[in-house]
This record gives sequence, C-alpha cells and structure tokens, in this order.
Amino acid sequence: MADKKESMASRGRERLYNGIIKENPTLVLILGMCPTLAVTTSAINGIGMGLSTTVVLLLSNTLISMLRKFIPDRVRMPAYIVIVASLVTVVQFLLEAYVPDLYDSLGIYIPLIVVNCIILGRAEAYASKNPVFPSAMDGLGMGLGFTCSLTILGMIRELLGAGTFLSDGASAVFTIPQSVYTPANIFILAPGAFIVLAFIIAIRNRVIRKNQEKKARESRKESA
Amino acid sequence: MKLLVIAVSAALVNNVVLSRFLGLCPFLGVSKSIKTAAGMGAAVIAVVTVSSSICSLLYDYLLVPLDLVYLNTIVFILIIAALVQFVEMVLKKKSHALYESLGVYLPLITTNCCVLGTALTNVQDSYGLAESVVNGFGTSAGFCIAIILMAGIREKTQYNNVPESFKGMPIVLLTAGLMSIAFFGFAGIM
Amino acid sequence: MKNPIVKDAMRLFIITLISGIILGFFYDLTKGPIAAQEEKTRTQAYQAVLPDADKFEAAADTAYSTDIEAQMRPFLNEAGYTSDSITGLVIASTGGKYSGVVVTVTAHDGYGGDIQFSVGIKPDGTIGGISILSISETAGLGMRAKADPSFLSQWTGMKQDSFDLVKSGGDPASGTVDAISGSTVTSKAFQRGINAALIAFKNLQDNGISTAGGVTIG
Repeated sequence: MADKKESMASRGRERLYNGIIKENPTLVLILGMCPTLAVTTSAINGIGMGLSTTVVLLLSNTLISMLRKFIPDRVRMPAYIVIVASLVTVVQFLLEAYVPDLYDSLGIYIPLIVVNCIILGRAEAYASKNPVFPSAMDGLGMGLGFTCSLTILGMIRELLGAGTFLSDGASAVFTIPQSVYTPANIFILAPGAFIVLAFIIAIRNRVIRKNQEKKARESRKESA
Repeated sequence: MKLLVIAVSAALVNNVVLSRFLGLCPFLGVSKSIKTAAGMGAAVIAVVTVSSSICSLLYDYLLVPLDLVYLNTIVFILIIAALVQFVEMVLKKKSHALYESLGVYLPLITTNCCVLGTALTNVQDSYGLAESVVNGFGTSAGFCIAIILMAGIREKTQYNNVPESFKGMPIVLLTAGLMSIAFFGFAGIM
Repeated sequence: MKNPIVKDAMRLFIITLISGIILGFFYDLTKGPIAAQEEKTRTQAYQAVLPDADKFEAAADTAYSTDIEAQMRPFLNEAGYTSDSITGLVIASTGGKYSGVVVTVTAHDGYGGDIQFSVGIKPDGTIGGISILSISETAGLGMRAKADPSFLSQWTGMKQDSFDLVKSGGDPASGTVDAISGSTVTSKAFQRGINAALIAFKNLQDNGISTAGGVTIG
C-alpha cells in the first residue's frame, strides 16, 4: 500500500518535470503557438493566459480521465471538444466577472483556448489512457510549462519593446529611462513575437547540444 | 465597397497568420512543400467560408432570439467539427482524387484556430451574413497566401547553411518574422 | 442486438446535456458580477471625463436614453459621419444643477474593429475629457491611444466645433490635433468619433431634454 502511494507520488512528480522541462509544450513540442505569440505583449498577459490555460488543462485532463471508460471510442473527439469548450466558457465567465482588465486584454484569445492544440493533444495522448491522478499532474505540468514559456516571452518582449518590467498598463515595477534605452516598438508588434521566440528556441537548442557533446566527450574519456 | 474593404483588410492588412497569429500550427507544421501547403490552404478556404456563413446564420436566428449567446463558443466549435467531418465524407464519396490530396489535412482543420477565430470575430464585429462570408473568405485566402509563400521560401532555403542551433523551428520562425514585417507594408493601403 | 451507434449517441448526448446544465449554472452565477463590473467601468469613465459632476442620469425620454442612436443618425449622416454611432447619453449635474453631458460614441472605423469611448462635454461646449470603454487595436500602435494619455488629453479643455488631424505640430486650441505616429487609422477613428459627439451635443441643446430628476440640458 505504502509502495503504491510512493509510486503514485513519484509518477506525479515525473509528469510535472516532463511538462515543465522535458517536453515543454511551447519550446519542444511547438504546440499552442497562437496564444503564445498573440498575447505575450507583456509579462502580465503571458501569466494570465498561461494560468487560464493551466486551469482548463488541469480540469479537462481530470474529467476526461475520469470519464475515459464512459466516453465511446468512436465519438471521443466531439465528446472532448464539448468538455473543453464548456470549461473554457466557464473560465471566460469567471475572468469577465472578477478580472475584467485581463479579460479585456486577452480578448478573443480566451474562447480560442478551446482549439489550443495542447489541450486536445494531452486529452488524446495521455488523459484518455491513464488514471486520474497522473492525468491531473500531466495537465498541471503541461500548463505550468506553457505558463513559464509565455511569461519569459512576455517579459522579454515587454522589456525590449516598451522598456518596462511587469507593467499592468498603468504602473510598472520598474521602467528603463528613455535616456538609457529607447524601446524598439517592433518587439511588441507581430514580427517581434516570431523573432524573440526563434531566439529562445535557438538558445535552448544550443544549451542542450552543448550538454550532449559534453556527455559524449566524458563517456569517450571513460571508455578510453 | 464595404465588402471589398473587409476582404482586402482580412486577407492582406490584418493577415490572420502574420499579424493576428491565428492558424499558426498548420502554418509552421504543414509548410514544407508548396504542394501540401496549397492543399491545406484550399481546404481551409472551403471550411472557413462555409462555417462562417453557418455560424453567422445560427447566431442571428437561433442563439440571439433564444438568449443563448453565451453558448456561442461551444456551438461554433461543434458546427466546425461536424462540418469538417461532413466535408471529409462528401469528398471521400464524390471526388476521390481531391480526397486523396486534401484528406489528411481535414481532421487538422478542426483545431486550426483561424476557423473558430473567424467565426468569433464575425460575431464580435456584428457582421451580417454577406459580411461574414466575405470576411471568412478573405481571412482564409490570407491564410492560403501566407502558407504558400512560406512553403516557397522553405523549399528555396532547404539546403542553405543555417547555424546549427537555428536549424528546424527557429529559422522558420525568423522567416515568419521577416514576412510579417513585409506584410506591414499593406497597412498603407487602408 | 442493440445498435452501437444509438448507444454512442446517447452517451455523447448525456455529456453535452450535463455540460450545458453546468454552463447555465455558471452563467447565472456570474451574470450579476459581470453586470456590476460593466456598470462600474461606465461610472468610472463618466467621472473621469467630467470630474466636477456628482450625478449622472439618463434622460427621462427614452428617445434620448435608449434610442439616442436613432435620434442622432440623420444629423451624423448629414455631416458625413456615417461610420460613427452615438450609443449612449447621460446628463451630468453638480449639486442638482446641469453641468454637462457624457456622450458615448462607437466608432466603427477602427483598425481592429469597433472602438467605444465616452466624451464629456461641459454646457459651453468645452470638452471635459475622453475615456475609452473598449478598444482592440494593434498592441504597440493603435493601442497607444489608451496606453499613452498624451493623445486623448489634446482635446481636454478645448472648445471647437470640430477638430482636424495633422501629422505633427497641431494646435488643439485652434482645432488641430496630432495623430499617433504610425496609427493614422486609429487616430482618425477617434478624431471623427469626437467630432460626431460634438455634433450630437449641438443638436441636443435647446431641446429641453431633462432627466427624471428635473435636470435639463441647455
């Protein structure tokens, strides 16, 4: 019994690590690109979008895993879509009622969480085949991984494009004085989104490649 | 005149992919060769134009009178999923050649956010039926233009010497960034 | 043998039904707070554009409260402002005395769809201020209308029949305002919308429109 609990916990941890680092949905799987690029004009927007998606992902994975024996295989896609669309609409109501500023700045991208490939992708690839707890952890991990990438992307674009850090539209944690750096507007605009993400992925690729080369060298040394 | 402005603005000025970031997954994923890109583009044009008109009709004549506007996301996505399934079945029966070339992309279209995105923008900007259809066609034509251009560039640059870390997705994203700068030029015609 | 398609359809139907019920429940739950939020945004906007006023009320005559657009349409069309709608009117008072109107304009010629904003106009025609209710322009370009207050503040305290847009070097006191650089479409939507509000204001005067509380325009 204790063993089983232990393995459940470790499986959960493994899922979290997998979602945030190993198979980060944005940087590695290149999924859910639309919200990633569209709403990350500021770090706050990135966090808001990331967390909204995380909530939907956690609940949808949990529900779909719970219902996995009830949902007939042939109509599973429409069933998933209904579940995800309902969850997204609920999140949309809650944001509109309690965080209206965020609701306004995310705009049409909130209902579009429904077609975020990450959500249906995880439902199909993981939640439909695994027990509830690991599925929930998988959703949470993927969601947090998504949130991390969005926040980083938002922070860089905001810093380069508007010269502010964690601004909520009216006031910022700090602002780079114009005399030191003149913000380059293009980073807030569409092209900046593509270019900054290209560099983030390239840097990640480089770090991973260097690590692998180092490991390969070490193993060669050992065998010699 | 207004319809023309909507079409041009949807296709070029506010290009779905390059300035509104909708439909990026197929744009990045299915743009390796011009042939597949054109197939995907054509399938998207068909689905978006038809779904725009159906969603617009349903919204105006069913959801609004019944005061069920808040169900729009869920209704639209179900319509789109059903439509995609239907188009797939019809193509399979009637035109096997077309099915062979488009078939693999059809299931992908349900999760292409430019389809749901267009249906939602039509409602948001309170477009009528004609405007919705024109906006849907313009938007998807914009998608088609962008994905074919991208595929053309990728075919040309396939054997270029790209820095190791930029191979794969990063170089594609950089290309998209430059294309997006170029599309800013269209803002001048508004 | 039972038809498996019927079974599948039944299960799908059950899932849809339950989802629908849950959605309806949340809709009812959040309806109140959402309406309250909208009300709050509106009151804040009114207060921002006419800071001296202490009360904002709709006109008693519904032709000027709920159907204001129909009343103003002919005047706007005549002046060529076909892409702007007057979507709201409230009458402001300070200590029970008439102190201006707040005209809400929806400009349909924005770059990213409709832009909705409120214009506060004092009894002598001076603009008290402009406050944005909803806008979805391009981030970093048109959105600067909201982020950078220096664009809309050009109008504050000015008294003109209409304003023209120039690239730079505008003088609001003589009726010219600077556009946001790189966002001509957005700037023009605001400039025309504000002119439309001024036209509406002119046509509202001397009509004896009053609130239920007896505050009269003019």
